[in-house]
Amino acid sequence: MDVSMQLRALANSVGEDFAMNAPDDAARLVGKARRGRMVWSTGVGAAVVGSAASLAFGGPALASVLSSGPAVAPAGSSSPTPSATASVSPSPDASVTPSPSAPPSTFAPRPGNENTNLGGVPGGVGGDDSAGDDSHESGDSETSGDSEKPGDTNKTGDSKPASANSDG
Amino acid sequence: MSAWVQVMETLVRQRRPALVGYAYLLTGSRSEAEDLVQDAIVRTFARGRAKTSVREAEAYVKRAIANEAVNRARHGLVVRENQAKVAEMATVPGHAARVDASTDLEAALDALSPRERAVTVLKYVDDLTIASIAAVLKLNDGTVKRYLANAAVKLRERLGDDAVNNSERRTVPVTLTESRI
Repeated sequence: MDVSMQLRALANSVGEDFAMNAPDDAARLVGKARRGRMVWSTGVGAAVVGSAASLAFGGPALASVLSSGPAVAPAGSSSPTPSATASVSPSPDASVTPSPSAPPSTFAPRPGNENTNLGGVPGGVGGDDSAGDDSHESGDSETSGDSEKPGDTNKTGDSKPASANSDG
Repeated sequence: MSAWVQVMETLVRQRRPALVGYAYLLTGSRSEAEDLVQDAIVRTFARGRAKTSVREAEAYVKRAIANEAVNRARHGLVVRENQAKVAEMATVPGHAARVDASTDLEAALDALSPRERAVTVLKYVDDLTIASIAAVLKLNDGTVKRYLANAAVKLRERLGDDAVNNSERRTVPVTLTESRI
C-alpha cells in the first residue's frame, strides 16, 4: 500500500474513532464564532472609520480629535521639516470639520508647534486597529491560515525572502 | 438563522471527524488534532467573510489547520506523546489489527520536521500540486520540492521504497511538469 493510501487510511481510522465519541458542541462553537465575528467586525469597523477619517481630515487634525487634549510637543520636533509643515498647513476642511466635541484649543494651531501631533495619528489609528485584532484572537490564523508571518518563515532559514515568491 | 451558521453547523456535524483525522496526520496527537480543528473552525467562521458552502468552508478550514499545525509545532506547542498515543490507539476497539501498520507510518511521520510533514500530507492526501502547496504554506516552490525530497528519503527509510515510489508514480505528471518549470 502506498503512502497516500496509508495516510488516508490512518486519517479515516482516527476520524471514525473521533466520530464515535464526538461531542455535540456545534452550538457552542457557533456561539464562539458569533462572538468572534462581533469582535472582528468591531475592530475592522474602527480601523475603517479611522482610516477614512485620517484621509478626510488629515493626520494632525485627526490626532487632535483623538487626543482631545492639549498636545505635548516632543522634545525634538519643534523644528518643522518641509514635509511636516506641508501636512500641517491646514486646508479649510481640516481646520473646520473635526468633531465639535473636541476642545477648541486642540484645533487652534499654535505658532511653532504645528507639528506636535504628528506622532499621534499612527498611534491612535493603529491602536484601534490592533486592539480589535488582539481582542479577537492571538494566533490570528486566517491570516494564520492565510497567515503571513514573514518573521516565522524566516526563522529556520529555509524560507525565502518575500520578493522571491515567484521563484519557480 | 444566518447562512454562515447553517454552513458551520453542517460542517461541524458532518465533516469534523474527517477534519480531526486530517489534523492528526499533521500533528501526530489526537488531542492536539481535536483542539486544532476546533480552533480552525471557530476562527474561520469568526471572520467576516461569508462561507457559502460546506465544501468551501472545509477547504478553508483545512488550510488553516495545515498552517496552524506548522506554527504550533515550530513554536514547540506540540508535545509529542508517541507512547501515550500508541497506547491510546491500542486500547480502542477495532484498532488492534491496524496498530502495527499505523505505528510504522506514524513513526515515519514523526521523523519528519513540521514542514516536511505538512507538505507530505498536502501532497499525498490532498493531492495538491507543488505550486498549491507553496501557496498554502507560504513557501517557495523550490522550498516545497526540497521538503518533499527530504520527506521522501525519510519515509523510504522507514516504509520502504515501494510505498513512496507507488505514491510518486501516481503523481508523476504533476511532479514532472512542475519540476521542469
